[in-house]
Amino acid sequence: MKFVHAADVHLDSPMRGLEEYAGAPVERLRLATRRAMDNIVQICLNEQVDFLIIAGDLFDTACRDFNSALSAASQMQRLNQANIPVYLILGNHDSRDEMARQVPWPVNVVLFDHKRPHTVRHPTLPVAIHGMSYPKREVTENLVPEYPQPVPDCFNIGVLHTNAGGNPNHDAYAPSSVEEMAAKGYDYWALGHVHDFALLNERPHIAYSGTSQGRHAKELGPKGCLVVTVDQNEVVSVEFRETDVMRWYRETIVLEPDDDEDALLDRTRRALRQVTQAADGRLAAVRLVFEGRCAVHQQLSRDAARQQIVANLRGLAGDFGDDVWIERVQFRTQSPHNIEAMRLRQDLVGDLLREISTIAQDPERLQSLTELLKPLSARAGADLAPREDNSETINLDDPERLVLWLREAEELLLSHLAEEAP
Amino acid sequence: MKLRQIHINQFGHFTECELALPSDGLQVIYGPNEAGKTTLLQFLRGWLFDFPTRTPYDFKAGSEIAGVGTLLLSDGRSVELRRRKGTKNKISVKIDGQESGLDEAGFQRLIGHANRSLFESIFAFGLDQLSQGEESLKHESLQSALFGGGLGSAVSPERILADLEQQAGELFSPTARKPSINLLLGGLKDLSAQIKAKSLRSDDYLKCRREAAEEESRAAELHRTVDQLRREHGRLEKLCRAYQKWTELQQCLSDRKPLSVPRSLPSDARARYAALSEKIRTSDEESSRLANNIANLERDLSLLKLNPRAVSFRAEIRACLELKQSYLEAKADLPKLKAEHAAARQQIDRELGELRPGWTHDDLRSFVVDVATRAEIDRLIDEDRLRETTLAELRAKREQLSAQLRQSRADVEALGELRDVAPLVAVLADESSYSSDRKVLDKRTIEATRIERQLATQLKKLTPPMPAGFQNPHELPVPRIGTIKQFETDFADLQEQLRALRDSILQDENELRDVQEKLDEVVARGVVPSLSERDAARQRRDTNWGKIRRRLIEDHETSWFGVDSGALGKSYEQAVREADEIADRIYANADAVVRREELGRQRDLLTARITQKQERAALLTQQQADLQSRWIGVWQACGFVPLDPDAMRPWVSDHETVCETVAKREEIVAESDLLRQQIQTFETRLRSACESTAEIPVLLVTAHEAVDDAKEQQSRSRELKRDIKRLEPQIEECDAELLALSGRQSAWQDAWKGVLSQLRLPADLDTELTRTVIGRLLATRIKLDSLPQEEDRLAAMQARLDEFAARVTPLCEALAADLLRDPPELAAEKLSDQLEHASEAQKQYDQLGKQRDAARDQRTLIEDRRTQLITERTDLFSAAEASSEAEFFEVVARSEKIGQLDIDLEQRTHEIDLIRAGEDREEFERMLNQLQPDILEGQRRDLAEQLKLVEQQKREADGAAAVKRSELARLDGSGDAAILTDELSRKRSHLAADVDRYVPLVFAKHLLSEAVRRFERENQPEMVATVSRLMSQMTSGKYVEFDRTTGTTQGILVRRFDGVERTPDQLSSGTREQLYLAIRLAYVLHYCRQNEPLPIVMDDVLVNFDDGRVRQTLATLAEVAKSVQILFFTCHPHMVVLAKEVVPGLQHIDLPTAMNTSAAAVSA
Repeated sequence: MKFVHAADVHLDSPMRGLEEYAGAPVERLRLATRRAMDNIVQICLNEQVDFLIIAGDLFDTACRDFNSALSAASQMQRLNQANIPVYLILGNHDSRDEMARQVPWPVNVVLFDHKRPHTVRHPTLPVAIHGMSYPKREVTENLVPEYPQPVPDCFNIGVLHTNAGGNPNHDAYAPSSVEEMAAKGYDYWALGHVHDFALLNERPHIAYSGTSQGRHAKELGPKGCLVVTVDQNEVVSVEFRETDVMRWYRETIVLEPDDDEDALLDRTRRALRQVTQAADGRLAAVRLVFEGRCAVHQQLSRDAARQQIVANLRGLAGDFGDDVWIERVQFRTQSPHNIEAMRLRQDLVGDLLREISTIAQDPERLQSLTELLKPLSARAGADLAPREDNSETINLDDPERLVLWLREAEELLLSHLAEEAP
Repeated sequence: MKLRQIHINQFGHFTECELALPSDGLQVIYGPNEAGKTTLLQFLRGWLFDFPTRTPYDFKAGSEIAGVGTLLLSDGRSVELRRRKGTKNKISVKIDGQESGLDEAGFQRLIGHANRSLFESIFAFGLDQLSQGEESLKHESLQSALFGGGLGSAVSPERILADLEQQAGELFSPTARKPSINLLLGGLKDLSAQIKAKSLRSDDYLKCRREAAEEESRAAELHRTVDQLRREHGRLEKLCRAYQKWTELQQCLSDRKPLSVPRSLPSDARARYAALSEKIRTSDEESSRLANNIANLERDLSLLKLNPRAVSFRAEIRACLELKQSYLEAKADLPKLKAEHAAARQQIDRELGELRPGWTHDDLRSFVVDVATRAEIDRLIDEDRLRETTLAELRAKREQLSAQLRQSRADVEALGELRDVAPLVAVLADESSYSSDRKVLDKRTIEATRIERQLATQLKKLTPPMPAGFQNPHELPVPRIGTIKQFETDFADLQEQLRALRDSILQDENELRDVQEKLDEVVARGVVPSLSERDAARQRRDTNWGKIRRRLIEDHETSWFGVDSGALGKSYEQAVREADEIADRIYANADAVVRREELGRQRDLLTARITQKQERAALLTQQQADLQSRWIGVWQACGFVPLDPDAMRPWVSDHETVCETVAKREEIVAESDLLRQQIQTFETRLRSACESTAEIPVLLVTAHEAVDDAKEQQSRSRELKRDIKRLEPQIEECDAELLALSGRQSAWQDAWKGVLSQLRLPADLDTELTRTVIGRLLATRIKLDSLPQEEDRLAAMQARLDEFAARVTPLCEALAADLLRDPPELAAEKLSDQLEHASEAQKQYDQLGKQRDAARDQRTLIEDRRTQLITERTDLFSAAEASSEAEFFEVVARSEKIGQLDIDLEQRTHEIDLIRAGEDREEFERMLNQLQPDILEGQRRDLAEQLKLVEQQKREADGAAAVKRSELARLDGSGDAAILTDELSRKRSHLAADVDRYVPLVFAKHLLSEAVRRFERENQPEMVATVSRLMSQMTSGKYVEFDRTTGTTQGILVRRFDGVERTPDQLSSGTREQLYLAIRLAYVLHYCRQNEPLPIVMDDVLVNFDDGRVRQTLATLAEVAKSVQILFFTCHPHMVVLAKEVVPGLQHIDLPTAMNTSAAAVSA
């Protein structure tokens, strides 16, 4: 017996953080989450699996377009034609959404109820699947104790959308522990909610399949689903299969003191070459982070020159066909000047640097800087404010961000005021 | 800080150069072009602030950039700084002749944290900087110029602010639409609308699905009805179409009934008969062709010639041919081999004679060296060689060891007695804590100086100053900051109220003036009476009427004597007329009257309001005075009159700083005292241990050297004694080995002689010669052994020649006697040719015979087949029961007609079956038998009409269902909205990135403008005064004052002695350069008042000035140089002359020329 365990498809949720620029391979990005879903279905068909489990968050909170539901239904129809049942629960991202209940699902789809955990038997195999959909977004109680007892002489699978073991990077919904799940007597726990593949336990196997497609720069590396093979009611293998059509990378490039713009481009080219090899024909969204004390920093402090360098870096992506999208360029380089030594100077530059340092350490003065941003806040506040889909937001009052901006302002001023004599 | 002396070890083309700067004041350094002014300046910069890793001045291989110089600090300490280019141990600093142990950071602290860029931007002046600075003054505000003076000529705060403003403006503007962020915001709005339009609501989808299902169901119902009607109509159609075929079928059945033929007649009888006739004809033709072939083969056989005798000797002839080749080879080789054999025998004899004269062939054959003998010879030779080599080595080794032993004994004697240094070691164990104490003390001393200076600066900053008598600033009863803040707020509130009130009064007064002017204008313009005039006229009229009433109506008898009643009436009429006239005029000019009255009312109102506000202002002023008294009262205990609260708040903060500084100073003093005590203890111990009163550094060095020397001496002595002990037994071992080797040589001689005698060789042969003789004797013996084999080979060859001739001769006799005359090899060749010919003829004969026999067999077969065919034709006639060919063909024709009718019957039946299709056969045939064509046609037409109608209804229902289906199909899960959402997300990212770029620009602009404002607030009066003074000096009092322009602009203004004011762009460029120089110097003086001064370095900055201006500027520089050292570089001799004119007693310095190692000359 063989089945596929997938979760967190977040159908039609947008790719976040990508900045468009001339020549960016926009076409290859289109409907990435749908294509990842298509890949899951294709794996089911190719492997001739006995059923598919989706452990929550098939849809995304922000998605209110019924077209997404129709697209999902058509994928399930393909599985229906191959007589492959689908067992689906709703997670925190599609719980409130009535959409999932109105989808014209084909007969092979079993959508678990949200009132209490219950059991569904496979039509032909000795398999019992236990699951429950989220009734609301914030499910803060542990659901594992409510799950039914295992069915004797069956392969028992628990399907649960949970934060197992308190992963700090995810909301603590339906908190549970690995020990408690292991003690439940099931043979396999198909978990959803955490977006990285993780095998938490073996015999019984407790696994997160991870999301099927990374959607922002924190979801790095390969994403996919799990193909689980069972023999004599024992899990024989749990194989991870890649389903993502686009992959996120973060490349940190440390520059040397003598590195100028050419050196920066050369190092980037080398890094991008490695990325394209690793991406294996997929579109790679690459975040470039430059660090180190370097000669090119002086140029980077000027906005026009920095924009030109960013444009040149994005131009490099063209050397790799349509395979690379320079998602964002972050410069964390440092001035070749010794700022700390300059801060000790008893002249105007020293005074200014000390003043900046004082502001950065004084929460009240730091907050007073936000007065300068009032016009921006008035015009763009609504577009910068946090949204339901958690997409790119900027909090103009965030002290950490204010300090970062202040440091950038410091570098900017330094490049104007204290140019090193030749 | 002042430079006193510089020594360049290596820098650029300078090698070991010396530059002395003995004077305190202005120092003019003269050097022609290319003399190395720039190199010297670069050296100064590198020497003070580190040499860069990569520099064009490091071109001399084998020597490193380095230099040393002396500085005099403002606190009087002398600092010697030694620096080299490198990565470690780059500097060494001595303070007042003592090693300070300061590192780079320590030295930077010593010079007030100044660094290279500060030096470059503030203290280094060149002509370019002066020109840039002069040019920038044209557009600068005062505050920017003063601030810029502290940053260097390339930096203009206003330009930076404008640049930042422009960059920020390109990203965002609260009002414009074009900036990047504004455009993005617009785009986001549009995209959101598009997404909404492209999205599908679940309710819409479900409604569409429901409607589609209803339409489908209606169409399906109609479909069923149509099917039923079509089936009925189809049945009638079939009957109509089948009726004709049914009639034809009945006709065929009646024609077939009377016809018959014999049963045995095959259906293809006509074709069979034709085929048999054709086969008989073909057989006849083939038989005749084969007869011709047989005749031709018989003729060819009779022509062939055969030789059977030659063929019978085939084996013998072939055997001769095989032997022929070896016969020919033996015949050719035999003479040559015989000659070689004889030569070999002679060679053996010659060699034997040379090696062992007198030995016979038999002696040689018996010379054998077996394996044991050979091994013995090799062993003896190897042993001999080894012994000789060992002897030579042992002798050399013994000689070397003896020499070493002699040397070691001599060294031990030379070392002498060892010294006891234990007391010194004990003292030196504490040296590290002593050094650490010294370093800490130095640091604390520097820190104390810095704090003293800082305290002096901080105290100077306190305005009003600390009152005399308060030594400890903590004791001063300074009010709490909260109290001051409260006063500040109260003052500000009162001030604000007063200002607002005065502004309001001013506004009211202006308004009043306007109203009054308008009123005056209205009054002056017309003759319209006022309402008061009207009222007055009416009052007159009423008064007159009252008089008349009292006189004529109420009291007509009394007290009105003297008053003419007629005059009363006239007067009354007059009054009435006047009142009416005024009323009429008012009525006619009603607008003007209203306007005048309105203005009058406004004027009265305003006047009242102004009075009220003035009273309020007086009250507030009184409150202000009261508050001021209370404010002074609060500070009374401090002993001075305070400034305003907003000035006193920083004062309190400064006072707190002073308190902190004083506390810090006390801490450092206590720590320093403790350190000094520890240092003194150590020094006393050291002097006692060294038994000397010399300086501590000298004593330390001496003590270390003494301890090191003692340790070294002990270690060396131990080492030498160990060597002597080791060498003596080694020499004894060598002697013993030499003795043993010479004993082994005689035994070897005996063994060698024994071996030679065994081999019958002379006893005096040496090892090498013996080996050669044995080798050659063995080689000759091998040749001798091979001679009998050669002789056997010659005999075998001769036998082969004889055998071949014996085989050929009998064959010739039997087959061709004429060949006996030929040589045997030729005769054998000819016999072989004869055998080939005979074999070929025999082969052809056999082949032709086989062909002839095969042709005969085939002809017999064909004849048999023909007979069989004729029998089959006869059988065919019998089957047709025909006796002749004509009769046979008649029967065949009848049979063919019957076949045709059967086919027709089958075809009609099949056609009817096709038309009938799904109908039941029996029922269908029954209806065909019974049907009446006319009635059937009528039924069919009616049904067709009904069907047409229902079909139309079905089409319409199908159409409606299709529309709904296609609507539903269009809702196919399109990804348009998702794609747009992606685009929206990208735009938001772009927006975030732009905001990240925008905010630092706004912050940078704010921070810089605040810094400029702060500098203005704290230092502008002082700076303005200094610039005015310097400017006045430089222009000989022509320009006496430097200030800001009045009004709203913040530009610079320079006031001439006669009161005329000029802006910088109205000055000559020379004056402007002086102005810029004054601003820079003012900042330098400002900096140096608070920090350790650095020397000002000027590189020919005055070349564009005329002599008068040069003199004045140099005089000013000389003045400034009293507090800050100025090094004035020039390549113009006249500049030196002018400087000497202006500064009496000035001594200029000639720059050391390249590659010169002499000291710089100081010229009179």
